[in-house]
Amino acid sequence: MLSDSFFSWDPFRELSRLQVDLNRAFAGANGPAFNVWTGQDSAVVTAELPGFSAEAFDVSVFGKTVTVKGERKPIELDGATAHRRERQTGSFVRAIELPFRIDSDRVDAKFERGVLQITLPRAEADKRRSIAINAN
Amino acid sequence: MQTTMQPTTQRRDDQVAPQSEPEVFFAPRTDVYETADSIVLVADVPGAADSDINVTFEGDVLTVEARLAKRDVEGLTLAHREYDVGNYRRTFTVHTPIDRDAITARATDGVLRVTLPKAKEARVQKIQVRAGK
Repeated sequence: MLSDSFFSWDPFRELSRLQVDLNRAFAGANGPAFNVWTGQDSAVVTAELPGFSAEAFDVSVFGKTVTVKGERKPIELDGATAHRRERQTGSFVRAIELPFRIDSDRVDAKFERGVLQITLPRAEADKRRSIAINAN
Repeated sequence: MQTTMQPTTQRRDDQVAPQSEPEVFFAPRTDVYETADSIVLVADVPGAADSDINVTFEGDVLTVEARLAKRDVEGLTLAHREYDVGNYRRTFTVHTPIDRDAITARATDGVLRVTLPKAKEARVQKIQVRAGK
């Protein structure tokens, strides 16, 4: 028997299955926080990455997955004693799987005020298409 | 080692905004460093620019605050959320005498750096030790 969800299938519900890989190399229990925004034909991934340098990011796309790598170095102050150190440093890798294939040629990434924003358009070949039925 | 600054608010992780509260404030993660002539506070305030930030020093309480507009992505819906966008606020008690007129604050790539130069009397004086004859 086919389940109800087959008939009411919504590709974006698949996001609940977002594949999330976190590299624990980023010191501490959790790495940077990511949000994922979706629409019919595109998705936007945003992440809070204060103190990271835009040049040090490595954003790559393969199939449905976008992978982000980055590193934050510790603050260097001459002759300083640290009284409190809450800001994590180190590198992280994060892979996020979208419910559709990504058009890698049109991916756009910008980094502003410590926030990374990656726009990921859906691949043309992956878009939903209505098929005309020939009645003879 | 004696800690110069004590936070009087909780860390961001532990903070859950009550639903009824219209304004949300997060306590930014902060490093505090001390050098020979200043205390340096480094706080993560992603999304904030210099113009959003307000730093005040009253009595011995330093308040760091940033007000941020909500960032929605037009035409798209939030499908997976790991962080909330809100304002930042955190207060610190500073026990070291500070040269109040010389405090500087600057935000770069979402990181706020506040430099509090120590007042003259609080600076470490290097004393030359002379060998007795």
